[in-house]
Amino acid sequence: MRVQGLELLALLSALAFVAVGAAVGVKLLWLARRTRALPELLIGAALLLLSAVAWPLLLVVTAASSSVPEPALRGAMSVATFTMGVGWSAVFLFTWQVFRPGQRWARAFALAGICVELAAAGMGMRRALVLDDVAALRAPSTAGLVMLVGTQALYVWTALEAFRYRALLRRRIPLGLADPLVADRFGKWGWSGVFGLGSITPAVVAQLSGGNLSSPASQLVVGLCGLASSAVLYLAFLPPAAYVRWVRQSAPVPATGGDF
Amino acid sequence: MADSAAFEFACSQLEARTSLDRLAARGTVRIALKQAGLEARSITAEQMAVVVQKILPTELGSRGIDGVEDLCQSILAGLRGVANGPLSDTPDAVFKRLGGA
Repeated sequence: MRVQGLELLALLSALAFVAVGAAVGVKLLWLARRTRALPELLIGAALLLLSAVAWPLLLVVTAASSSVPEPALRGAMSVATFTMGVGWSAVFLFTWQVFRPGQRWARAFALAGICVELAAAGMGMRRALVLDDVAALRAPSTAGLVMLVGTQALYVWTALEAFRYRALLRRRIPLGLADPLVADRFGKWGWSGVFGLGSITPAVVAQLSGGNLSSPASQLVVGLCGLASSAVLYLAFLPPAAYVRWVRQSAPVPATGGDF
Repeated sequence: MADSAAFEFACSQLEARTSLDRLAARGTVRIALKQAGLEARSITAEQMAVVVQKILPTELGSRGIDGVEDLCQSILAGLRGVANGPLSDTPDAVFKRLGGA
């Protein structure tokens, strides 16, 4: 009974991430088409690739029965690995370009992260195509571990930058120099990094320790973090009117000052 | 990365019109900016005006500067003539766009 509950949680979590990620990705790509600006293009493409392409294909590979043709499984795994590498590389670029565009260490860190993601994606694609036993596609691999460790670094960086900027904007709100909703969006983006980190960490721990990724504890953490990640992405980029009102009403009222 | 024109203007005025030396003047303005959650490299003239009105008087008073009100009014008047440099896409501008806010 408990296992059925966890499986349901995992399914709900996956469906929520696919639906919210795809909706936000399409919205931001539509925005990028109008503004021609890089940040919305990067994050829109990343969310769409990760949620609408990579995640469903990974689910297919994981849950596929023996009736699915071997070339289809190899192809699905290759495309999923490629899109994860490209998607997470786009988030590295986004974090660098938005938060620290002029700083050398940030450029070096982002470029190193992109190299790791793309190299791991290349290794993973090759593995998917040349493995003798197609059932081993579901087994952990060095390429997968390298990609996930690179992504952990990405999520930590993204969360730190977002929370730092939220702290700056919170100080500006009482002066009338920041919109509480934008400050809240930084916070939600930071939390999406935290929950993203939480959703991939069980896989890293299981691989490093030789543990079982499908243990109830791992499934619970992955399921809850996936749901929470979808919720904060939804509130950040597709906020309902009632939530917008609540955020603005909860913020400190700016003090009045003289005219400039 | 260079500091903004508004920051440089406010610092130069403090240095010229008070007993604060260059280091102390810049430090005082930086402390005021930190309280406001702003950064010297990206602050605009409009944002600096709010800092000069709402935060800088207290900072100057705590350093024993006389005639704070007149000094701040003078800086405010001068800030009207300070042109903002080419405005970069700040993180808050990007996140405002991303939410459609």
